[in-house]
Amino acid sequence: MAEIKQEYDGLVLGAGIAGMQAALDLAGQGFDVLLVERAPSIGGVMVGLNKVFPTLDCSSCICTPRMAEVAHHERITLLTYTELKHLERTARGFSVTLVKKPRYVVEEDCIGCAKCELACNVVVPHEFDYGLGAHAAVYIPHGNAIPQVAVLDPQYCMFDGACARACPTDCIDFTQQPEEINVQAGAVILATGLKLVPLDVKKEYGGGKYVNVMNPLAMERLQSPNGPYGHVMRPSDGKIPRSIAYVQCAGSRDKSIGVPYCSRICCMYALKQGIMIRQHLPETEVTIYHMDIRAFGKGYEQFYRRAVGEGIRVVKAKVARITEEPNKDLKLRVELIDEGGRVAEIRHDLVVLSQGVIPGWKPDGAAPVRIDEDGFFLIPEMAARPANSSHEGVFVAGVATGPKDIPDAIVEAGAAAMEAAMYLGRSQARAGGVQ
Amino acid sequence: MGMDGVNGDGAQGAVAGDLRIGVFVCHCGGNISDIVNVETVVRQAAELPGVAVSTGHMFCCSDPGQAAIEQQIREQRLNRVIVAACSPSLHELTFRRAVARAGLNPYLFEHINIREHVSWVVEDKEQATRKAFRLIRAAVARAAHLAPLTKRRIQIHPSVLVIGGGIAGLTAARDLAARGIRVTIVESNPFLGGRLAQLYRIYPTGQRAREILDPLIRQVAADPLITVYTNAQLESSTGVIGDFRTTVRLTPRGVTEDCPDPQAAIDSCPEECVDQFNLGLSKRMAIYKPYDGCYPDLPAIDWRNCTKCGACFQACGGRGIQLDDQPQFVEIQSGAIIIAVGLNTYGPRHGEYGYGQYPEVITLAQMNRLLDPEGPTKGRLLVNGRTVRSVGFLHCVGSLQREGIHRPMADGKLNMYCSRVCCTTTMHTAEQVRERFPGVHVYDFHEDIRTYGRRHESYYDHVCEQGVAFIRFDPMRPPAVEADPKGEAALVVRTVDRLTAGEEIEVPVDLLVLATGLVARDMTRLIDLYRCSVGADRFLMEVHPKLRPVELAASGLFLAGSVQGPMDIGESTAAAAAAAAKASALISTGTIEMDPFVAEVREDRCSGCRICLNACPFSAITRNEEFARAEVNPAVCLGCGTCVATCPCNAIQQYGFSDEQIKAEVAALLAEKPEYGPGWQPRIVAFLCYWCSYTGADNAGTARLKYPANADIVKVMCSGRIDPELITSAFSWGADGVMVLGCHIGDCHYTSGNHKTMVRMPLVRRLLAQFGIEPERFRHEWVSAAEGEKFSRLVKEMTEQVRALGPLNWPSHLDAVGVGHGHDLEPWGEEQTCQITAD
Repeated sequence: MAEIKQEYDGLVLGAGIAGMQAALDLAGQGFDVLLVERAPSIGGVMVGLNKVFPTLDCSSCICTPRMAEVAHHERITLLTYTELKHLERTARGFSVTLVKKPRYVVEEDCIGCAKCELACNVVVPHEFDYGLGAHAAVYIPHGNAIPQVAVLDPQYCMFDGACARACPTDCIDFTQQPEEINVQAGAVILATGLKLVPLDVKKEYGGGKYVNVMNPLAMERLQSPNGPYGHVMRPSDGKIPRSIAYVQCAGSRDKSIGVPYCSRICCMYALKQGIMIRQHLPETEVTIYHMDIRAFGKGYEQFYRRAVGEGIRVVKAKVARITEEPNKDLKLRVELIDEGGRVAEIRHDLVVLSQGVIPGWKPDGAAPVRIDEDGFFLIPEMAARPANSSHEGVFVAGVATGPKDIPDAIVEAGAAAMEAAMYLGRSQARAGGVQ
Repeated sequence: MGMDGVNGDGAQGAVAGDLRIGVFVCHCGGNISDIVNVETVVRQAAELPGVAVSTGHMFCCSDPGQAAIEQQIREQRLNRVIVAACSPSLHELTFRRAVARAGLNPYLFEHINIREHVSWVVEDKEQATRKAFRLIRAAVARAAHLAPLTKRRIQIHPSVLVIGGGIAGLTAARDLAARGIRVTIVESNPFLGGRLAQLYRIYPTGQRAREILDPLIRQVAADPLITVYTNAQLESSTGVIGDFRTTVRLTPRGVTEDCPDPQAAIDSCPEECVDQFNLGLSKRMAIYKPYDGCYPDLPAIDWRNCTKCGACFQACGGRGIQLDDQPQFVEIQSGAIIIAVGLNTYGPRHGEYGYGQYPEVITLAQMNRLLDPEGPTKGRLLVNGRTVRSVGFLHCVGSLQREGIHRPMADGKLNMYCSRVCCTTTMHTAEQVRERFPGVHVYDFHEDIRTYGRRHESYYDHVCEQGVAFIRFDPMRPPAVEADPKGEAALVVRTVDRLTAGEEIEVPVDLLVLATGLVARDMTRLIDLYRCSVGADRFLMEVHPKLRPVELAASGLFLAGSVQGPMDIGESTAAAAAAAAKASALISTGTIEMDPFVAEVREDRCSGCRICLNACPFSAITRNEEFARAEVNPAVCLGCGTCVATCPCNAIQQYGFSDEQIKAEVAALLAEKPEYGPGWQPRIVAFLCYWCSYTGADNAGTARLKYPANADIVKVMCSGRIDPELITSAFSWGADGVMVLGCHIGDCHYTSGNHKTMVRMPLVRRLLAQFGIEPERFRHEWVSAAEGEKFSRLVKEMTEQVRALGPLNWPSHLDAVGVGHGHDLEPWGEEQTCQITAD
């Protein structure tokens, strides 16, 4: 862990792709930035993706150089495994209280060799792989993690000291406590990202109950070459699925669960995952049940047509219910809109619910910003100043202001950094007595 | 432009005299030393020529480890340093800094990866130890050819040129000026504001467009740091990042501030012409202002329609009207350029859904003018003077075009893309119609409704509640429009409705609004001036659509707003601010530092053939026509080395990755006498690009995927650097197999370096066939940063494949085929001077 100064020009909360970009764009203008991430590694959702649409770039190939850039930037201080406790305005900017969670590993001494992980006898479902893979009770978050520093999960640890004996630098420390860190920051950028609506939010789809009803991010991990298995398989029996269904808007555009808005990325990732599935498993059928295909971005419609050309079936339909067969296959009861609303029951090996996107973090009093009806941060001037929150000096980037794909999140991060830089310039000019 | 030399300054002295190489081998607390016998490696390394110090350390990266390296550099007067430890991605920078602290040029340092590439992937201790030593031996050989380098420093002129005075350009200019940066805006029209000025209310806030635009223009106009040129067209441009010189042509406005009564001048004009601002829905004079409150608040003369009759001149008593001014030219110097020229709306063809044929068919942009209380109908819904009782909106006109259904555009291409903003604009417009004219029925003909953004869906929900009728047509059978034969309404729209099982329906409407798409402006000038590229959709292409959305391929050029593709207002302002952030970062540093691994042309060898010009993904190479020589602009070169491999005369070299360096490394890897017999191991040289494949090999290491120890990795920045000659050299020095691994197509860090690899490698295969080398001995694959598993599998497969073929022993045939002629076949030992260490 780098030395933490008392004061920073900018505090960026969240080190996913938007937070990293905001930190880089602010630091690039000569400001000192403290980049705080709640997870043990930076990189956010993007570093766990397999490919990105519509270019089908390998996500970790393009994300890891950016992570390294952040880690090596001389004006960026990185604080991982740390949460915001409180943020309030003072005469000089913002007074920030952070809590660094104990890793039970001395960050400065860990060399990332994973000997502890190999020595540990406990097996824990891997959060990075959405439970499909496993890690030990002490583990390096993942192969591309930054920092490459182990973290110990006391919930699972047997405290038998196997890791401590294996560690060549003697950096396992069972006595670590949460550490409160107080800093001053001139401006704040919130880039707190996303999560998906719970898998079981729509009971009629059986998510969380039927093992072959999947989370789309878990599907990304299954498809990733550095994922838990390196190929797509059915969770129930490890078989290669021959027929995969995507249920779109499973928790979006749905007032009944409080997510009335469009989650914006699901159409495209479903098409992308479909293309990748058909490339690796040409005999597997992919069907996407949707309301509208929203291929609105640059090159997206062309990607949609390519997907259709590669044999992905795109069916305008409403999925009423999913039931599980004894062999764990899934039966979808669907209303086929383009066939005049005919109701059919269709069997699939595996179902991916294109779960809606909801905010990854809520301030709950920790930061003085207002939340809009949709749960994301309120932006008073959405057209003219899209990165300005309701509170002066607090800016917002990425999915924290609503669902967004990677380029849109990066653009908004740049905008947030620019707004923060202008704000810092103004407040520094005031402090310096310069008009 | 300021450009410091790439070569060592002062540090040059450190290279003179004998080589004094320090080799530091890291134990990594057992991570390396449990498998690699570090003591043996240290002892063997000490005997290599030029090595003055060879030592091990428990943790080279720790503070004591770094201090030990610094101390040895000082005490032993080392002039080259090699650290054999973990992956360079983790600690290369750490050690370069330590080397610099000890007073040595940081580029006289070599980082060897014996953890991820050796101890974590090799099971057999003896083999791991031998591999580690081979890599160190190669680094020692390479170190002899290292030259002191300094980061390139490029001075940046502290100002930015913004091309385009619409919402994106204005936003970018305001933001930059707020950071104290001088900005020049050039706008081709006589007035600022762009397309936003023509919009009435905008989503998702519902506010008037001019509520955003007017204060912004006032702010820009009042800012002393911003210079605005209207009526300004791009003429020519020279220069690169840091120092662009753009010449613009200023078309005379015809009216100056001295004009005593501009309104009298307008009123006196006899030439009525089409009002472009109202999109042809009204007329204006040849001397005009588009709307009240425009900026500059001074009329302009439309020279295409002006007959120079002199009426306005007389109306103003001859003051302030200049009918015979000539264009002026100004040169604008800037450190960076932001391109924000915006886009056009699709103009439907005559007869397309009745457009041009029936006055009741208009575009969405025209509808916006009709709804504006300051518009041509003062906000009343009138067509041909008749009140409208029903309105139809037809989506995707000029967007989502399909072969066989739609007629291609003038360039023969279809607008396949989605125009992004029209669905929500349509919903928003329909909402306004229902709210302001409750008696008017609204019908919506669509293929899909793409209300994707924040609050967009609520417009859709709201118009559903307001009773707008939705009809989903089949894109392969688009609706037909004709005059209503029954005369009930002006028009009738015939279509099949997929929402009611394909029922054929006829919908009478008084007004049909075509939700016309957005199309790119003519980019010819920008392409000529700045070597930008455009996509199949004709919009400007960003350097990386995912990660670098506001940057163009050439450094120092940024793009903001809808010049890049359809965007709404909020997206345009965000993109503008993001582009401003990039430009501001560039300007605020004053100078930028770039890695010194650039290419350089050896003038004495260059034949001026131009082949390298096309190889460069960044147009960094130009041809000096006077001397008929290629020249690399080091400020633009990003150091992929693709040109080096392309040059037929060996006239280009890359600092840090010269032929001499790479060859010395390869030769030293293969310097041992092979041991034939039952335990024979094929010797494989693997050339890996740094960004993807090398990281992929690291990934295999972190995942502890074991693979045979006989494939030695040679790192280059891009697989495009791999010259076929490097491959034949490797074979000639005893390699039994060669692999070339690069980023997947589309993933290249240098955008298209690997495209060259893709073209070149099949030729290599043919070349090798000519030499009688079995094709199985050469393999070219793409390995991404995440594909550790693939990397280890490839090495395994390759090893087995080559083992089955047996030793190559190619050097013995060399004379017969004439390869290696003119090349240094003496693998190593004899000291060479690196030819690119310019003085």
